[in-house]
Amino acid sequence: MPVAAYEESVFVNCPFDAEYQEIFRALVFTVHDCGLMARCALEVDDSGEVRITKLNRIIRECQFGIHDISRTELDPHEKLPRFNMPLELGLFLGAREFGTGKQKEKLSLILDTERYRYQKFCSDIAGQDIKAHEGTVDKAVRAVRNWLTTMLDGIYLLPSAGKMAERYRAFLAELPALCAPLHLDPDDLQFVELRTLVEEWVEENRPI
Amino acid sequence: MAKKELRTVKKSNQTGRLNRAAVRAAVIAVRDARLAKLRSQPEAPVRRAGTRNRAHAECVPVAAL
Repeated sequence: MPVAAYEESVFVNCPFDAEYQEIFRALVFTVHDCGLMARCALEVDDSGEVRITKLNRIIRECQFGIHDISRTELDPHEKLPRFNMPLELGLFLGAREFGTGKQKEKLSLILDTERYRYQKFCSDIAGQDIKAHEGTVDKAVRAVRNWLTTMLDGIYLLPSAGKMAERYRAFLAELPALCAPLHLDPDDLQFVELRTLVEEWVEENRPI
Repeated sequence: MAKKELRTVKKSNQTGRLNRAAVRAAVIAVRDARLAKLRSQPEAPVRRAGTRNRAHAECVPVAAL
């Protein structure tokens, strides 16, 4: 059973490495501060389910998709690039194109470090809404917040991007204290643990 | 409560599994500690605006100037 309604679910398709962790956590926080639910491939670790089947299922359950295609560098060990993010972006765009019913209502935000850099490695996505975060939390929060507030058609008024980034920093500052009584390691949180903490923090720390 | 459910609850208590209420309690405790700390801080210093020529100038918080 999906953890949230289709219209409230945001598929977060981005790198999961340590270097990207700060932005990943900021994306999850921003999605929840906008009143929606973050979903990603990390939420299920079932060896019995083929990875692509799991991805397809989560993509099917999400109306919104945030795709960060900034990780184009070669893996230092394998000397090969990571293709997972562009592949999952393709699945998401394909679901909108070839799917039926509410799958046609899928909406995507594509993030990269620089706005037009994608033209050099993935020019087929020209025409999509691509925003640059320049590797910073503040710009990533701004891109997601501004996109979601437009996509939600102003139904809810959201705090400004600056305020949301400030709230994210407040959450991060309190994370060790939140984790301590729960016997969690703030540096080694599973995605579902992070999401639960974010959900509850946002609920109990409303901006107004 | 069905027998099966009872068994599940007992098991979760034994393994120290935490539910949503525990997470929310932790969030509220940290938030309340932060708010208490803010309330215990001394008020912002004030200075008299335009005191050179006005005997009854208003006190204005420095932060508001």
